[in-house]
Amino acid sequence: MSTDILVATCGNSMAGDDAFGPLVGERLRAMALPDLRVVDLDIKPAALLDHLPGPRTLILVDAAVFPAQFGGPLLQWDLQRQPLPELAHDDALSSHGMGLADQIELARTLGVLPEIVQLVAAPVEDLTMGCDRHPHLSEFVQEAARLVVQIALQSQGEGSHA
Amino acid sequence: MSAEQTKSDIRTIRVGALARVEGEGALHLVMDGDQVDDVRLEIYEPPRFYEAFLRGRSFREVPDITARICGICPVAYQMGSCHALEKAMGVFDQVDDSIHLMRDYLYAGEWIESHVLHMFLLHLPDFLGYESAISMAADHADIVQRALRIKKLGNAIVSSIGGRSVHPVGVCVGGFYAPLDPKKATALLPEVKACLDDMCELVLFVARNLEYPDLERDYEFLSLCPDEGYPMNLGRIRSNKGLDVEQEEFLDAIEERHVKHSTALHARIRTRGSYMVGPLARLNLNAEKLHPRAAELLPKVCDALGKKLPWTNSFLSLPARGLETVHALALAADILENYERPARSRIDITPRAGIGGHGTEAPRGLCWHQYRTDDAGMITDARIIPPTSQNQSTIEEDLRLLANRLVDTPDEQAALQCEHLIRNYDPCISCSVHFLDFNRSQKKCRA
Repeated sequence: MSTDILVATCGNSMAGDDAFGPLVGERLRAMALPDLRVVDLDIKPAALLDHLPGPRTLILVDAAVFPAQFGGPLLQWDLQRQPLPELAHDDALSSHGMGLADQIELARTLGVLPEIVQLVAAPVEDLTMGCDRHPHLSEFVQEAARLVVQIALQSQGEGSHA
Repeated sequence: MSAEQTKSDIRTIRVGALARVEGEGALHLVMDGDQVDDVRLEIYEPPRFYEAFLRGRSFREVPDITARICGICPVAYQMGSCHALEKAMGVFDQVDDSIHLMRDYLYAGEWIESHVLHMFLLHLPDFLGYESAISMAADHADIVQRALRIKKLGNAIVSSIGGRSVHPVGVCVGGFYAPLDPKKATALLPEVKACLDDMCELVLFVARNLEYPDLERDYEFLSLCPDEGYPMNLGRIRSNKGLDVEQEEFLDAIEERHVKHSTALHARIRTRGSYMVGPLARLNLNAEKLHPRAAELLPKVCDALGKKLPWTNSFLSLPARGLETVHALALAADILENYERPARSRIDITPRAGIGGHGTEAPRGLCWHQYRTDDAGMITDARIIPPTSQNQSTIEEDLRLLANRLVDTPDEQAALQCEHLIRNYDPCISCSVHFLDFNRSQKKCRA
């Protein structure tokens, strides 16, 4: 895998299903993939721009409050080609009103957004501080880790053909 | 009096979710003609009960738990809890100077990151007339990119000794789990110096090129006032109106009260009323203690603004933050330049029953903690007074004054000006226990 692949996870490990992102990050680190860098943005998405410009591929991993879809497939967006989902603009869930969606748009405006930007999100139920994680969350975590590796390999392939 | 003149215009301005602030809050403003009937900074973020669930935990866990109160200013909560618990454990005076220096270094990183984030990504769009940093960046990419570089450095400073920039894990009661690696200090220094030079230019930019609304008030400013150095971790608590108390006496000097419209308590000085904490208070009370790099910049900033200290206009918090960022960068540079690995990074502590109260200067102002422990060092009582709850009453008073000048201002513009004012305080509502959607109803009544 190319070294210019960055996985940035978001979420609060103390807030129920919001632990999805950090758990995927843990799993990817445990896989010890030599050319894939994982950073935890935790509850501070504004730190994303600390890592840009740089990577050719950026894979974001986050939880999305989507109770009606819980148990359904993981959500995946190509943020270079598709508009951001509306739910990502909820300022009330962001720190200082600068959420992940704002960081992506700011990076795009400044011309530092990587060539490939993918968002992997789990439809989750409850982000309440201190609440239990949903029993099915661990399955999402495993599946998301596999998907991230797949996207990384695919982006590397795209790079080699570029 | 004509029939028209006997009617009153009841005007309600409501911003249901304030933008570009941390946490969930709202603004409610009711005007009757040219009179302000009601001003409420509504904080509806649910209470988080940190003080309650700290009870029964070991004193050693407190810095890691309290760091979770905020993603922007975790260091403030770690520093407040460490100092207060060192007092409770009877070791406060045994903390090495080298540890105090490392605490200032860590805190400098947080001030840099937090101040630059607020100044250039959250507050500057108000002054330049943009909806957000994103739209501002399209026209002012250079400013935004320079700010992002400095903000990144702040995070790097925190990570260098805290282990990571969000909720650092390197802090413990008594010092740090490990000292700063001298190689990291050497590697960081050139970037700190470069950012320091650039920040000086950015401060002059904001002083010379922005228009600051005129809203002068006779504030009571309150901050730490150490005998030496600009306030950060240590010092007595003083105000410009005569308050001068030891850290442990703070609770005797202020009172907190519950108001219906806020899940955060309002603080006031017992004998007088509201007060202001934060960069403007610190600067007005401690300007002579700024690092020489910031001190040499101050007269140039005053000339550009046409205002000598004290600055009694909350809109001037922006250049105050800028000067403090220069101070923090210069302080970090000095510490790194003279850094030698200390003999130890923490002191030994034997648990005991005790009580300790201590406040430190969070980016937004004084953040005061008090803990009581039992013989085994378990927390039996905790109290945390964050800066935003201390500023709430003052923000409402500011809003009332501003609203008097908005009688003829269209709704949308009036709401924006109110939000701008609130952002002068860089409120961290999640700490205080988040913020404005806007709607206004206007009706004629009481004919």
